[in-house]
Amino acid sequence: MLWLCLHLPQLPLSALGSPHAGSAVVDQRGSQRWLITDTPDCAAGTPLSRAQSLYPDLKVQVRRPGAEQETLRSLAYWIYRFGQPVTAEIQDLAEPGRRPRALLWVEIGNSLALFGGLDVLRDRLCNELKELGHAAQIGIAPTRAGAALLACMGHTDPITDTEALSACLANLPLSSLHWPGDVLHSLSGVGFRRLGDLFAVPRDAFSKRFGTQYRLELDRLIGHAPEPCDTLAPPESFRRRFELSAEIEDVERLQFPLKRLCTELQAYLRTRDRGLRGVTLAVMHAGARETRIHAQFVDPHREAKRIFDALHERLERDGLPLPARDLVLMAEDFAEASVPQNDFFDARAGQAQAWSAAIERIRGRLGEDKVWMPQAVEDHRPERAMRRAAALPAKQIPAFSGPLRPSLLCAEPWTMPPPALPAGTAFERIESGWWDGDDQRRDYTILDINGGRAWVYREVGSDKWYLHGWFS
Amino acid sequence: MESALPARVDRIDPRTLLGPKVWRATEQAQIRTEPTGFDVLDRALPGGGWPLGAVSEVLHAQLGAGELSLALPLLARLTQAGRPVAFVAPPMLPYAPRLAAAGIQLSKLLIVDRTESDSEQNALWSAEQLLRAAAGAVLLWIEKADAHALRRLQLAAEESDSCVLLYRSERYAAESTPSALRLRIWRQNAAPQVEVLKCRGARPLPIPLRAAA
Repeated sequence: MLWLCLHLPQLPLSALGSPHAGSAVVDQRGSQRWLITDTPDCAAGTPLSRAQSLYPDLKVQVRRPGAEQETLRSLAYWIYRFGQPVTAEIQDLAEPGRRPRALLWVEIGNSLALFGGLDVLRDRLCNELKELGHAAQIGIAPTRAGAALLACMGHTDPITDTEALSACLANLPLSSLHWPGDVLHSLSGVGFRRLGDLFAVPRDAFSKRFGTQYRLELDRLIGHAPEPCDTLAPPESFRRRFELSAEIEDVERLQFPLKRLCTELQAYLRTRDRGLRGVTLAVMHAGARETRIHAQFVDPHREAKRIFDALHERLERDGLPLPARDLVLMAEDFAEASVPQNDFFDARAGQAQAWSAAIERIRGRLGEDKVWMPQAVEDHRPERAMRRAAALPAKQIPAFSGPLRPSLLCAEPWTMPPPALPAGTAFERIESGWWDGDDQRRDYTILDINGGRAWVYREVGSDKWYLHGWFS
Repeated sequence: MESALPARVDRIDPRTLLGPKVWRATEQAQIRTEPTGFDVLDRALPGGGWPLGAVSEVLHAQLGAGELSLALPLLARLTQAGRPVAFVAPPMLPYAPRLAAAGIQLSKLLIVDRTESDSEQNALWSAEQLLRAAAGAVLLWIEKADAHALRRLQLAAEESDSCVLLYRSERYAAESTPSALRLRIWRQNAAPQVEVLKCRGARPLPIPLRAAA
């Protein structure tokens, strides 16, 4: 086993979705309140009263554990593509002055060969994490607890065997352990300074004095005890809720959270190796009301920017009827494999994507039904010989071979007075459709009308004339 | 102090000072084109076809003058080569059976309908989006268009590698526009007639010519 652990020290802040880097998140226990994230000026753990007396214009937000869990879970679904099992935990002592540890583990021992080595895997993971907008410290070790401790201590060099791990951990100070303050206090009172001192104590004596629980945790650190865990796997459909810190009326201010959700959806799609065909954004308002925005894509893809553009364009077009409280991004409509992979040798793949993206932008602004692709249909009735397709058709229907047809057709035939027919005018009779209620019996001919070549017809057996198209 | 400048400024190639876009009257302008598919018309046009990266205006007396047929060979060739093309704000329904019969790959053809409000602005905006997305050709039907809008379209075309065909009524023939090429098409004696009103790179031919139907 080789575990890679991410420690996300700023998770309480990023879970709130605040774009202000300078603000701090506080936790509260009784009357005590303290910072649990770092700011440029103040370290985590500082009591709020002291931080505010030093920096009166410090922006403070209250911690939301639910949002932290949700964010960590979505990251777990993302990291699933680097290996499995995946597990995550927020270790919270709830002691004033201590910060929670948001930890995410993935077992990478089996996927190293796939990614081409530890360094490559770690670089890719770091790049994608940055894209998702999170900062993390990474620890790599043969045990879960060991990797977590290395990550929290900022020890980035990977350790691959248990011998080296216990040697490395032995040098760490006692305070690096995420144990209750009174336990650490009594340990240091006995004279222990480093983890190595604890390892050296006979097992039974340590258990008797400080409890079996802590001895077990020491064993787990260095791989002397198994580490059971609940593993996480991404669900079949994507659903992610984003709680806004305040009600938002302005569509522009939804850009940031929306971008974030779209990036997470992209990560989900990459993990599951799927292409996205359609996506729904539910904007939740007060009183359990919601506005749903749906976007269908021309071809399946997995690009965050395209998802964002499509949804944002629609939001801008329609506006919000009420202020937004939450955003929920949902996706269930996936394509299995037909996602075009970026081919180094095929510049056209990129162009096709740009074309699809342009179609989606225009649909977003003009309306879904305003952009279409014509398809020929085999039917003798002129109105039914074509249809409007919303997505790229799979195959081309063989070209219509028959008498010449006009290039522009009237949506509805226009009535016209009976024309003067030149001598020897030939007609094409179209007689069809008696079986489906759209019976047509028409005599078509081509005439020059006011300097235009027109396609006109007469209802058989009457003198009603219609203009049906132009040979433009 | 002696400088490294040449002794006489007038011997400097103006392009070294002003960039490669400077055209000198002694040279034939370089025009990249796509053949129209009509030999008579290709011979009459400088560069031998529809200019690429520029707007060509097709002014027609009325619908049915053969104005769309002028573009069909171009569209057939581009779509068969896999390039996407688009009709923006056509006045009527582009009829798929006719287009398919002309050899156009319908899967590469996109139609953007007119909108009830802001029709011209939406059409111009859509055309610009498609040009940026590497359209092979964009056919655009606009009646009222101010000089500013046409200039924008011309600029979008210049940044692309596409043919832009702008369809307007021949009522606008007297208006001056930034388009690279202006054609007028009408029907006379049951045959389409084409006249080149303006073109870049050469003088327009004074004589009307017959194009294939």
